[in-house]
Amino acid sequence: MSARVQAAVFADEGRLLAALSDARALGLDVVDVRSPYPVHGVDELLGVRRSRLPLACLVGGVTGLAGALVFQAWTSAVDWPLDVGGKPWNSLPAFAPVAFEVTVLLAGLATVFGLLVRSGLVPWSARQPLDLGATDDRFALLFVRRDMRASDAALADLWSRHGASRVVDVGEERR
Amino acid sequence: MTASRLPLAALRTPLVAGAALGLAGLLAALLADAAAAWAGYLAVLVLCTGLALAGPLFLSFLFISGARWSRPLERVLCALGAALPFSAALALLLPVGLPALYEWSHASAVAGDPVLEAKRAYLSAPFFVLRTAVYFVVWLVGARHVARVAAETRDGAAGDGARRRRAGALFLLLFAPTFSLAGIDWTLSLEPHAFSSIHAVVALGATAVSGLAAAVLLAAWAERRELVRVTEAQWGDAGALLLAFGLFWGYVWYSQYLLVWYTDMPEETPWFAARLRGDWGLLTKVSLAAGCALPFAALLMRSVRRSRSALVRIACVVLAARVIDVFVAIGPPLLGASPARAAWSVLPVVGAACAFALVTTRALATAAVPHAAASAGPRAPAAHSSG
Amino acid sequence: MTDARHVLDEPLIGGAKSAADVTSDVFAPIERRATARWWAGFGVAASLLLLGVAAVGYQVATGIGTWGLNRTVGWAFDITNFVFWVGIGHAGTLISAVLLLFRQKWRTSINRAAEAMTIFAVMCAGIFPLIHMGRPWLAHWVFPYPNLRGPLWVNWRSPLLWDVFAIGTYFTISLLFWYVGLIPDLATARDRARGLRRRVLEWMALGWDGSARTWARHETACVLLAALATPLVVSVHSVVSTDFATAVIPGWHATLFPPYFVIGAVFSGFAMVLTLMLVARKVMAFEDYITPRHVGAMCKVLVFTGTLVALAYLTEVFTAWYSASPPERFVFLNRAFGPMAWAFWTMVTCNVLAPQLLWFRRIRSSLPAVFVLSLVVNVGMWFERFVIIVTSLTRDFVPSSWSSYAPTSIEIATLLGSFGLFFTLFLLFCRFVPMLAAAELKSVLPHGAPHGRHDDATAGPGRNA
Repeated sequence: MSARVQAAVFADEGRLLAALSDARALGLDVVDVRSPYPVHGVDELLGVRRSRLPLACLVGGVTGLAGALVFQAWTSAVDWPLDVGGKPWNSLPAFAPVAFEVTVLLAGLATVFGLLVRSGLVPWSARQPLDLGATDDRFALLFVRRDMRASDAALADLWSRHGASRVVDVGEERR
Repeated sequence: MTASRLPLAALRTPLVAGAALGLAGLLAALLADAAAAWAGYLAVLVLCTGLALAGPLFLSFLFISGARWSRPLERVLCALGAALPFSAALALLLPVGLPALYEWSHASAVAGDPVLEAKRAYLSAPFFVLRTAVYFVVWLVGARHVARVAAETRDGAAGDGARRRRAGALFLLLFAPTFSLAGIDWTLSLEPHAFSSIHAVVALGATAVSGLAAAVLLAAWAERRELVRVTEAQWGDAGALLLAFGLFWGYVWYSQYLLVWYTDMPEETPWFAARLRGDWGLLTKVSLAAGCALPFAALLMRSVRRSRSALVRIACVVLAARVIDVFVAIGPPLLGASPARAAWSVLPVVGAACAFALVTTRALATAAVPHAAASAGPRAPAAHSSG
Repeated sequence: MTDARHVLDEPLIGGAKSAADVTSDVFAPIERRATARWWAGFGVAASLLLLGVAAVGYQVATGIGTWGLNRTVGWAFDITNFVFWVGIGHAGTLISAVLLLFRQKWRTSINRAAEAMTIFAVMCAGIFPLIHMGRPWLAHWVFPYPNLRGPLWVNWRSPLLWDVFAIGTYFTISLLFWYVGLIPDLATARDRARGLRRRVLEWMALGWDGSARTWARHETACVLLAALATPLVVSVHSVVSTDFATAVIPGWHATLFPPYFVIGAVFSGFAMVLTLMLVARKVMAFEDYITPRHVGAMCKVLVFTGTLVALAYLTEVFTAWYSASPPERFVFLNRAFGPMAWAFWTMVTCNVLAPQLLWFRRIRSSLPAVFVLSLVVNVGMWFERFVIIVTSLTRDFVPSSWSSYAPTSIEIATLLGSFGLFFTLFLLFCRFVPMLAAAELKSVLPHGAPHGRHDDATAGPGRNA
């Protein structure tokens, strides 16, 4: 079952937030919000889960730390031990800087990679940007009308009450 | 009124008893093992002064950064600073202990040693005592001023921001050189041949992280007694600061260790060798693990950072680590190759902790009374909105 | 709890802007044709760059005998420039990461440019060790890859190798952080563009659509990157300092070096940010965005870090005296009163005395005075590295090998060339990339009253910190 997605566009975040909570009270299926900057309070109303990127970051960091320490120890103490300045084969104090840098490198790469993959941010992204002005100064509320009790009139009243500048059809829902 | 009097009264008896016990322990140690007793005394002095100084130090940082999230915690920091007179009183004994503590105070040790002779202008008993007196005068006056500005600008009138920044900058300007030199005087000069330009920064790291831990404990106590109100987000910020300063301490400690390990110079290595081998070495590792690694690992988790009970537990561990750290710093020259004689210091440290808690909780309770009622009302809704 | 103070604050941005105003102001400079002033600046920068390219080409072809080095002074101009440029970068990371963690909202006007500055400065820095190798075509030997020479691995105990990893990681993370922050603005530019330009921007903006879910993840990613970049930036200059401090040369081996270098780097970096921003706000007409308030805040950071640098100098001198070690004492006497005393006193004047003027509000609020002081600090911090590196080497343990050092024209041309590269890249950045973080600026506009209050009441860290 595919449904048409519509967008109600607002001029500021205050109206958007008010409209969003009223729309949810009406039982409207709000699928997304588009905004020029992150609007605090939207996440809770939309039910966006806390991001798990910190986990990706941690996994990357731990991998980097372990990998760098093991690799340094293996190359310096096992594969080809070399006496440098009388330091022990396994010079942990001297391996710490590189281990730290690799930890940060992999943690950062994992974070960015996680962000790009989970959000589908790739150069060949198929998404056509919607012309809602949401990258400029508009705040759009994307919703689907699906088994809804509220009438068309109630919906129109909702948008006009919150001062939506326009309501447009933006196409098929992609799930 | 009654709400703030009650807890203090309930707390007072055990704390007074603990302090008395500590004093008795110190006297007993003086009779049995005077050198160990003086080591314990010096440790207590360094610990208490550090914790008390952390109050005005963090207040000054908050002032110059214009931070607002921390308003409820300011009272706690002021209370920490209120313990400075206590540590100043402790310091009055320092001239008495001078011969027992510092090798350089004996003319026979200096004569014939070119290094000590070259430092005689600085490491001399009268100059040492004078310097310590100056440090305390500067700190007492500075801490008082910062606390006063904090109290007078709490409600945020126009122009208060500038006043806070000025007070904070002034305190930091006075603090930096006095703290650096005090560290060299009190602890580093126990081994008068040792020198390290990062010494003050390592001491600052340990002082900052342990001071924060003390502030967390005090804030938790005050919140239980409803003297201040701390939101979950503010606990989270305190936790993040604890994480950051724990890391900072680890970073500067490692910087010093790496460079000394790497160059392995006869002027520098002995100081470290005494603290990295045998039982002292074990204590060094324990203090770093407990003061730095453990809080780091635990506080990486957001839920831990924002939980009061978890923070209280971490703060206790950090404070214990700091106690060990101070003994590792002053122990080897005073107690010899084994830390066993530090056992004489257990009672004095416990007693000092009790006295410190007594002074700070009392300051917090008395200072909080006029403000608690005024600030509880408007803050209440905001306090719980972060949920 | 702080509503009353909130109202009293000056707004972060002047001129009562709306979000649409921000968009048009920020994107106008990259959508119109370059101005004559831009071309003039670009011409000068590109000429310097060409001079540098010629100098580098000559010295690579001829050998590093073209430098003024001798058997006593083996490191001088090139390493000074390396440390100088790495240090410049640090303010960018500080502004983008540390100030983000501390929720200092004034950073939004300057973070984009400061981060770009970081990336370009690190690129400039990277050139010098590369040339210093003498045979830059073997530069890949610094990487630990399985090779046909054994495989002979790299020496993990060498601070010079730590540099490779520190600078490499720093460059990568700074670039990622910068680009992640740039994506929303590239989307804005895309939605304003047509034709080929739009096609290119579509590719670069990675399909960004301002979805709330993406924003939530984006915010988390930025905070994580900031949390990573903060210890990273500290590690980078600490590692750079170990290039010297792991040696046993008096004047180089000081345990204070890691934090001392870091604070010096932040100091010099903020000076460079001030220099660039004061020019940019005029040339790009961003006076409403980079306001005297921002300049004042940066001045305060400058005087704070400058005072710490002064404290570090004093600590070093005191420790040298307190160590009672004759070579240690000699190095500092030689710096202050020896043949290179002029460099030492230039450093003290520029880094210790001059910034103290910034305690006065009169000076802080005079933009020309701040501009001059920022240049003075740049000069002073270059001399700091020169003093540390060269004066410690010229007079070592054996008086018979005492020597001196003066740069050759090739070395000076290389330094000028690095400035050429830096400014060429920076001018291209101003021309092709939104120089202000438009999305972040919109979020701190005063119109978002509920937004601002929410942020403060929950003490902000909600998802961050």
